[in-house]
Parts: sequence; C-alpha cells; structure tokens
Amino acid sequence: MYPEPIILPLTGGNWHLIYSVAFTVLFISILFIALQTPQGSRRWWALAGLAGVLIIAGQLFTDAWIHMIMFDSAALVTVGMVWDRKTAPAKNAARIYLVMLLAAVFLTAAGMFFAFGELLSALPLARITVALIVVGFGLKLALIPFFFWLPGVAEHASPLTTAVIVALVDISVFGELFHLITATPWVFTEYAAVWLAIALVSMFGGAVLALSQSDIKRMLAFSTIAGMGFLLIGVLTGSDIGIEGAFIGSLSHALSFTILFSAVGVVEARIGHSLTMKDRGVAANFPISGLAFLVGALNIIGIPPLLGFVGEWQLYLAGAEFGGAALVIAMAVVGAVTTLYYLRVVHHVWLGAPEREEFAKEPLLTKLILVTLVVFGIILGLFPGLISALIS
Amino acid sequence: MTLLAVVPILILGAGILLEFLLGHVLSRTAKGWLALLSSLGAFAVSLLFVPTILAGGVLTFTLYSWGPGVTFSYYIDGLSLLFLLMATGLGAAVLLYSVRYIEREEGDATRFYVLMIAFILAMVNMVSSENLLILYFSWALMGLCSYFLVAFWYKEKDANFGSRKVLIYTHVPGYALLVAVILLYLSTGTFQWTSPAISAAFTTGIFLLMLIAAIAKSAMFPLNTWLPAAMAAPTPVSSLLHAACYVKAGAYLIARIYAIVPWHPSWSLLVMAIGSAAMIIGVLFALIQIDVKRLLAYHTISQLGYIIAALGLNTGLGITAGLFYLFAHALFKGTLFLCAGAVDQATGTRDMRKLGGLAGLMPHTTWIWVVATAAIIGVPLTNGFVAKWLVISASLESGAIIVAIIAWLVGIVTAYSMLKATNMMFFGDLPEGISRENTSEAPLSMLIGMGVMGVLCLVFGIVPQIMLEWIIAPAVSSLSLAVPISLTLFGVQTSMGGVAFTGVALIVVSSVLIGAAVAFGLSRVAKWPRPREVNVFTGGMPLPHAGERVGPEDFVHEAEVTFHPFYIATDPDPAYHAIWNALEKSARTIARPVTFIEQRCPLLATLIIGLVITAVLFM
Repeated sequence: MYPEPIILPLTGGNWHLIYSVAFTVLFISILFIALQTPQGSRRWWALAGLAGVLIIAGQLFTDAWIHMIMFDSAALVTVGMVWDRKTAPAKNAARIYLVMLLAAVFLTAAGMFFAFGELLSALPLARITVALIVVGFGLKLALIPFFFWLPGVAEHASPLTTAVIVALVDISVFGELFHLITATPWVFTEYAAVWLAIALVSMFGGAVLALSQSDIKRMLAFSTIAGMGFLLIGVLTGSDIGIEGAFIGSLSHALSFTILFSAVGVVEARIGHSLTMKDRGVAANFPISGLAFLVGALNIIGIPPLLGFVGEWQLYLAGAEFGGAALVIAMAVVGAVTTLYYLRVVHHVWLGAPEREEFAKEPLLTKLILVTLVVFGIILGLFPGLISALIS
Repeated sequence: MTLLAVVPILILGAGILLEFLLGHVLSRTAKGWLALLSSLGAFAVSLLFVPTILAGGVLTFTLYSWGPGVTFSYYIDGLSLLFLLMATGLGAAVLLYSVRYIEREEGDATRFYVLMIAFILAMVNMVSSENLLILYFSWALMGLCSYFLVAFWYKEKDANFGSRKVLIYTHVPGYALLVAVILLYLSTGTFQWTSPAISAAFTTGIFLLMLIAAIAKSAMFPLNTWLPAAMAAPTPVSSLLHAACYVKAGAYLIARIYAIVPWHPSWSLLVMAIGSAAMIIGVLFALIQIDVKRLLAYHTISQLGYIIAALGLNTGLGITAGLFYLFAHALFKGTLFLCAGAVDQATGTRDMRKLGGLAGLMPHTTWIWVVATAAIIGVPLTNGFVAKWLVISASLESGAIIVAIIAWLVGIVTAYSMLKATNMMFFGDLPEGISRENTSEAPLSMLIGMGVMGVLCLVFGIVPQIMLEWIIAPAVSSLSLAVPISLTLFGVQTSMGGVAFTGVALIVVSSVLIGAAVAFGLSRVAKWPRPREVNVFTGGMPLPHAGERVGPEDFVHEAEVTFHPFYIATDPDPAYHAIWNALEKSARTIARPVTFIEQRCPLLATLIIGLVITAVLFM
C-alpha cells in the first residue's frame, strides 16, 4: 500500500531504519533511567517493555495496517502505564486517554480505509475521509483542539511514562503522516487550509498555554503540542525540504523530550513532589539533570549546534516556500515564545541558589545516560549527515 | 582553495577537544595554558594570511557538507582577517590573564576554558564563513557560549538573571537574521553570500531584518540593556565579550553588507541615527554608575555607537574610521575590563565607593588602566585619539555634522566619567574596607595579559600607519570601497587634513626624555617640595561634602535629576517587562477556560470540535 521503503528525499537515509535505531537508543535510555528512578510496579516494566517492542518492531514493517495496529497497540499499552501510577488523578487521566485513543484508532482506521479505497469519486466521501483523518490524527498526536488528554497524562503519569508516550509513541504515529502524504497527497494538498490552521493553532496555542503553566510536566506537554504543530507544517508542504525537516525535527523532538522528561523524573523521584515553578535552584543539587534539561530546552528552541537547529531551519525554509514571509515570520514568533517559556523555567526552577541541599544524588548510570543523550544532540547537530551515513 | 584557511578553526577545535579529554588530568593552571596555546596558535596562523590578503587575494576552503545545500565553506578576505586577528589575538591576551584569574576563583575550570575557546571559535567561524546559514549558526553559537559563560556562577542571583537576559535579548532578535537568510535562499537558491544572486535579491527588508539582529548583538538602543546585566560573568568573559567577540559581531554584519550589496543611501541615516543614539545613551547612563564593570559596560554601548555611526557613513573614510575604531576599542576596552577584574579580585569589590588609593598597592595595574583610559578618552599618542579623529573627519567629510558634534560632545562626557572612575579607584587614600596587607598587585601573567593590550593602545596611537596599512586598508578594500587616506612616515593624511601622529610622538617623547633628564639632574642639586593635596577641579559645581575628593556619587544625583526624563525615556526595560507581563497575563487568561474544559468536559468538547471541523470541511 505504501511506497517502500521511504527514503529521505535529500539525504537518502532510510526512514524506517533511522527511526528504529533512534527509538531503540531512546527506549533503552528510558529503561536504564527507570532502573534507578522508580516509575511504578512490575507491571509498569512489563507494559513499558511491550510498548517499546511494538514501537521498534513496527518500524520494521512497511504495510500501513501493520504499522497502525502495532503503533496503536503500543499507545493502548501506555494507557496501562499511566493507570499503573494508581492515584485517582492518574486513573482519571488514563480513562480520558483511553477513550480518546479508542476514538482516534477508529477514526484513523476508517479514514485510511476510505483514503486507500476506490470509493472516492463521491465528493462528500472524500471530505468525510479527510475529517476522519484530521480528527483521528489530531487526537493521536494531541494537536490543538484535540489535545485534552495529554496535559492530564503528563501531570499525573510518571515522567518516564510520558517520555515513552510523547517521544516514542507520538513520533511513531507522526511518522504515519509521511506515508500518508506520499500515498494519498490529496488528503493534504486539497485541504491544506485546514491542516495549516491546525498546525498554526497548535504552534501558537501550545506555546501560549505552555507559558501559563506552573507544573513543569504540563508545560512540557504543551511544548510537545507546539512542536507537533511545527512538524506538521513540514509534512504539509510536501516538499523535499519540508519532509526532511519534519523527519529530522521529529528525531530531535523525540530526543529532547526523552531528555526533558527524564531529567524531571530524576529530580521528582528525589525531591518527592512534582516539579513546579515554586521550586528553586534545583540544578545545584542535580547538576547533570539540570544540564540535561537546559540542553533539551535549547534543542527544542533550535539553537545551534544542537540537532534541533538542523530540523528547524529546514522547516523554516519549507514554511517560507509554502506560506511566504508571513508563515516563516509566524514560525519565528513561536520560536521566540518558546525561548521565553523555556528560559522562564530554566532560570526560575533550575538555576539560582538552592532551597535545600540534602537530597540523594543522581545515580551514576543516570548521569552517564543523560550526558550521552546530550552529546548525541550536539554531535548530530554538528554532523547531521551522520544520521543517514551511520544507517547506510 | 587552501587548507590553511581553516587551520585556526581546527586548532581551536582541537583545544576544545583536549580540554574535554584531559579535563580530569590537568590542573586548573595547565588548562589555562592549553587554552592560551590554542588561541595563540590560531592567532599565529591567522598572521600567515596577511601576505595573501595584502596582495589582494582571498583564502577559500570547503570543510564539509553540513546539510542539504549547506556547506562549511570559508572565504577569508580583508574584513575577515581584521576580525580573525582581533578575536584570536585579544582572545590569547585574555586567556593569558585568565590563567591566574581562574586559578583564584571558584567554578569548574574545564567548563570555563571550553566555553572561552568555543566563544572564540564561533567568532572565527562566523567571520570566515561564506555560507550565510553557517554565519547564523556561528552567530547563535556565540550567543550560546556567552549565555553559558555569564551563567558560569549560576547559583548566584546576578548570574542567573544576567544570563537569561543575555540570551533573550540577543537570541530572540537573532531570529530576524535567520528569517533574512531563509528569505534570501528562497529567492536565490543559495546561501553563499559571494554569489551575485544574493546581491540581486538583497532588499531593504532583508537589510532591516539583519539590522535588527546586529542592533541586538552590538547592544544598540533599544536592545542595549543586556550588556550591563552580562557583567555578572567572570571578568575575562566580560573582556572578551566587550572587546573582541560578541558585540563586534553586529558591527561585522553591518560591514559585511557592504561586500554583499551596494549600500543604499537610505540605510545610512538609520544606521547613523542608531549609532548616535547609542553614543549618547551609553555615556549618560555611565554617569550614574557606581559599579566599575557596569560603568565600563555603558561606555561599551557608547563606544560601539561611534563604530556603528561610522560604518553607516557609506564612505571609504567612514568605513576606515569605523574599522579602526573597532580594533582600537577592542584593545582599550579589553584592557580596562581586565584591570577592573584585577582590582575586583584584589579588593573583593567593584563598588567604586569602596575603592581608592590603589595606585600605591597596584602600581602596574594603575599604569595600564591610565593608558587605556587615555585611549578611551582620546588622548593623543593613543589609538583612541586616532580613532576619534578618523570618525570626526569622516563625519565632516560626508556632511554628517550632527554625528561629528555628537562624537565630540560624547567624548567630553566620556573623559569626565572615566577620569572620575580613575580618580576614585586609584588615587587618594585607601578606604577603610581595604587593608594594605591583604591587597596586592595582580600576578605577572595577568599583568602581561592586560599590559600587552595597553602597550598596543600606545603603539597604534603613535604609529597608526601599521594598523591602517596592513589591517584596515585591506579590510576596506574587501568591501569594494576606496581607502581615501595616504600614509607617510610621520602620520596620516585624509581629505579633511592630516595629523603627524608619529612626528608629534617623536617630539613629545623626546621632550619627555629631555625633561626627565633635566629633572634627574636637578634632583641632584635641588630639593623637591613635598606633594600636597590640591582641590579637585569641579567646574564650579560644589562637592556634596566640602573638602572631600571627587567620588563616583558626586554629580550622580545631579545627573539623575538633570537627565531624569532622558533616563526614563531611553530605558526600554519597562516596556519589555510590560510586554512580558501582558503576554503572561494573556496566556493565563487563555489557559483558564482551556483548563476548565480539559478537567470538566474533555470528551464532550472533543466531540463538538470534531463535528465543527467536519462541518467546516463541508463548507
């Protein structure tokens, strides 16, 4: 059904292989950090393992339905990981997540069934197909205005569960859009205004809502929504530079949010409460987590020489090609707001004088993994060609 | 194509790598020497470029392909060479100073030196790059290095606040440069600024976008207030940031535009206005400072105003003046910051109210400070005098009389402000807080670091022909502009007249030597009167406390009262704070109903929104 395998248009990298290698590295990193930062019961480990296997193995197939089944199954497994926190708010978040996810699975499956079918000569059916796909993917990716499940999950699930959801599951699902635009470009080209509106609303809405949060994990959740809006623009343009930018941007997104949620998880496990804007000088007690959070934030902002910039400039160029100066300026404005809300957190919560100094230290293995991920971000930012060169 | 073009970058890169690899093995001092060696090596190799550049050639090399259509390609011309020598040479002097400075301070030395070398590397990469996207890459990387360096003591409130301000005020406007580069690529399909297509596509809109980024980087009004906030950094960082790197990046970008596209006359007025405003704002804010580093920071804003205004004149002499001033400022401001750091480290304070009488305890530092102060004021025999003379000449030549008048008046206020600081820090009696026993002269390596730059202030003031012929003229020529000056053995001649800098220097030095010989002879036969205190000339203004010496607070109140409306009008921070508060308030206002829906009725809301979108698709 899909042209296979998807080869990146500009660098020639094999899309499936790069994703599977990247997700394997990130998944192992998350598991190692979870070893020293308790996330839940044994069930959590079983579910996390299952989700990871489904996501990574899913990359090895090229059939659309197998992809969808495996990634959707992985998403459903993460509902169990959220539930495993066992608090009432976590269970409530898991319930909402489950309902939204089931709706998303049904809608995208129906939409793709029609999109790939032979019945599209009827115009109303084409529109219904697009509606199903827009709403279905909107729900899965938590794009605005379908995002309601994500902030609650981020706030109440364990941080590494959220890392699995936003860095691995969401990005895998996002990857489906690459296939979709290749196989059925009309879904995007003929309804570009709707997609662009959703991308812009997600970018601006995510950034503005992130600015208003006091809980750091909720802030990160809104930041992922804004990031998804950015990535969607790359896909939407359908150009080589847009696809390449969205792909590298998605890798950077996955890396950044693995780092960010891991850093928050390491700290929360030791300070015993959710990290909020009321905390001060956290980096003084957890310097490597502080460094990791800072670099993860800078990666999201897109500052060279980090990987985030590699995807960012290509997305800007794709945006300029697609929507002219106005769109690229709009993207830059969101970039500026992203800088503001991340620096607000970095300088309020992480840097500065600490309030207490008697917390347990970061475990060595955790530090090692966080530093390795940070170094990956820098090396791939300096030598982005390595991504495809390593695979080939 | 020559590999030599990238050797400075490779040396600096190797320095960073070695600092990382040997970080756990080397002592704090050894790390400093390693950093010094890498910068010195890069400087030495940069000197090898001089013959090629003087012969009118350029050095090019492509290091590697970074992304689709983007290469790390280098194009080193006269303008690049000027900035290369400044970044690596002054960087080396600052790193020499840092060896003992950092040895005595807290904080991770590896982190410090890695960031310092990366800072220099980013500047070198930026001025050497032929690719505009890589120029932006280096531009932002430099910002990142300065951010981390200002946050070096990140547990301290000032460092925390200052670093945040630095990144926001420079990175956010930096998006304008990125947008400009992207739009140029969209029109031309290339990032290479040497391509004629870029010149053809370069519009006033692109110029304005680049100017926004340059204004922020060079701390021009209204994006100037990050610079004083950056004073929370260790002193070598302040010196490098103010002298050789960072703030000069904006001036580089403006100068580079001359090489890309013929300068549009309408741009001149804007650039001159920005420069002139910075001259005035910087120096008037300097009047009310009591922290010596903040005082120097405001003078940097003012001095950068001279440079930017000169670069906006759109004449060969204007560019010559601007570039000469740029290098001169790097030398004297770098020296002043290092001296201030030495004083801070010796006394534990930068508050001028608590300083005084240091000439007796730190005589060498005092001499070096006095030379650099003379240079910033524009005393003859210093490079500052040549620089000011060139700027005023160029302004008069191009008919920009207002710029000349502002430069002259600001020079007077600069002299007042700097002499007050000199008097307060180094002369008079030791204040109570400073003990003679615990206060000592700066270590030798620190003295050499700042002394070398101080001496160069004199060398390029007495024989400016060296700088003008070997460094400035090729830089101006690389911008396709004529160099309208003629150099003689004794001085410099422009269309506005000439000054026999070297000739006068010979007379002055001879007179001093003869006078010293006579004085020495007389001292054998006559008895000198004892030194006695004299009243300070205050221009008729009574001192707050009769009989006291002039201090940093004297006239501060008068300045605050006199210029109060000016200070209010030219401090942009309240406006930025208002924007920030409005943004936060709006975000909270938007978040309130969204959170309500998210927590009360997410499923119903999603259903309704899904139906609405379906309806929209059918419209």
